Amino acid sequence: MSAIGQVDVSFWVDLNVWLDTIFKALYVVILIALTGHFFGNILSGRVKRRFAKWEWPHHEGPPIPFLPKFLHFTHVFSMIALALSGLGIRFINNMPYGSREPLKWIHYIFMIIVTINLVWRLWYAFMSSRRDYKEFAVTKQDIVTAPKVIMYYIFVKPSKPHLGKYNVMQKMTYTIFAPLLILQAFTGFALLDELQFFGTNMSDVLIGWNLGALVASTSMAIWIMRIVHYIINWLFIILTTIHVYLSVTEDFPAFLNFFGLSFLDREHAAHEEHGHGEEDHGQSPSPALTHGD
Amino acid sequence: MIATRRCAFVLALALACAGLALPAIAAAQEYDMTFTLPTAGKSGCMVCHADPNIGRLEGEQWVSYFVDGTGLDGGPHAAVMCTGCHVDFAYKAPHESTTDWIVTARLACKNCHPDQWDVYSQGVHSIAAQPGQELTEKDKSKPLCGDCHGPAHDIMRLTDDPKGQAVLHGRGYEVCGRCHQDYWDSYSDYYHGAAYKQGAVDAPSCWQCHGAHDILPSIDRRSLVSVENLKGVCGECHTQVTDEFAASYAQLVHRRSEAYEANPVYVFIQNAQDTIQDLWSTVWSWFS
Repeated sequence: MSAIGQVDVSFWVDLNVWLDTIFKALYVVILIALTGHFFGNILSGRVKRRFAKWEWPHHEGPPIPFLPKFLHFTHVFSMIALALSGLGIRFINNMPYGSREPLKWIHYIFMIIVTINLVWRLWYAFMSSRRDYKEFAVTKQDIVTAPKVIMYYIFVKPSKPHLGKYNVMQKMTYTIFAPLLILQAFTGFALLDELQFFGTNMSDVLIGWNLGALVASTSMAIWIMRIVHYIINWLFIILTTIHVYLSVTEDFPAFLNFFGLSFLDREHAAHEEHGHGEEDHGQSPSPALTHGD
Repeated sequence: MIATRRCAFVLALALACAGLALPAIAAAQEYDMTFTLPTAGKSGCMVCHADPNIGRLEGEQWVSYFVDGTGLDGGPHAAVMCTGCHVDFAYKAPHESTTDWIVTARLACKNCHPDQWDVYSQGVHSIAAQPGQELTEKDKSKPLCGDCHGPAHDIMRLTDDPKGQAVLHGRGYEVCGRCHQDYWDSYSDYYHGAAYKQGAVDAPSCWQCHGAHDILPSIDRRSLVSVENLKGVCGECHTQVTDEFAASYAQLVHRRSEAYEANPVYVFIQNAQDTIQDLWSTVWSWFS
């Protein structure tokens, strides 16, 4: 047996329990932290300025086309369905249909949608006429302004640098989404040990001939894939929760706009004015839409 | 005159009927079963046992002897006479027997199901005492056919019957758990035990891994869950199972709860949760 296969069997049991415990606890901590942050927004008057006086960051650049909005919307819906069905399969609470088959099929269907979405979005980012991948690239300016952005979020500074469309934390978060999605898709497909791929088992093709050989069997490799799949699932849940919270609290009009529910105010952008709570960082802003988080 | 004759005739008829009925009433008081012997049907026994109020005070406990024939008539044993299972029925009343008639009834299955009995007899649930020998306490604790397949009068068809199989599949606690409570409690891993307890039909019941009639201790190499045979058992549902995987994952099937209890963060959270709940209850009690 290989080195990994020689790990004490109880390690795998304990690892699963540790992951459950840590991620559940972490998620509760994050919810509490976000609730505390929202109270901070209330106490600092940001909520009143934003939601009562409707003072939001100004948006510049051309409107976001329909396609990325459509992909974002289907992605959000599909990811929610995937998270709920996936967690439902693992932590089953009730069995309205008698088995887990319906949950599995929901997971499979949205898995396909998300995979198509991912390929489509990558094509849009790198190969379409718009090629917006540069908007997600972390620049030197982003690194320099990162401490000020953090100071603003933790209420040390009253304003944040105006950075055009995304700040450094947004860029890093959105950038990490792509490899995580690819890894999640890979580990998800690797779990399909009953699916035949041109007459060969899918799990064998993806992991059996490499990782499987390392850990003594395809089954063990599948188990490892399931653990990785589960970890990434939690990372998505945590990042998405923070993303939704900051989108709503930091730039609610942009949040609504992404779902086609509002039009962004661009009149100030034409005069190169910055939004409320934003300061000039000394350079021209990126020619893109200012967005929340 | 005619009226007087009619009255006399009715009186005579009534006396004659009473004369005929009296011995029968007396016999009934002595539980003479001569007129209710079990026949090809169950009408004989059910004359009395279909009455929901039939029962007997045994010690200080009222024991019902009511038999709901609904399940019996709709099941595979509809054509079996009562005495087909209650083989020690003494054809007299009270139905006292030299044997424990409940045990006898639960053992009677072997008369019609010898193959299953043979397999059962080789398993861990077989009774060590030979016929005529006194049963040890351990033997008395072992299940007989009716303990798992019961309730005895509601046994359902299993062979080629998805409905019966589904009902049995959902009776894991009654079949195994009530005697093996610790194993039942620890059967709580993500994809098997936890799902099974929630009623998932695609999650395995105890006997799908451990075997049914041929159940043996896991240390016995003939056992389905012995290290030597785990691969085959897991392979019933999973593809590409290896010995390493089977041996590893099998640890999780009955060890998840134990791992939770040993996890310091989980224990800390549980304690914190309990403390908050207690605190909340205390505060709540001040205002209620």
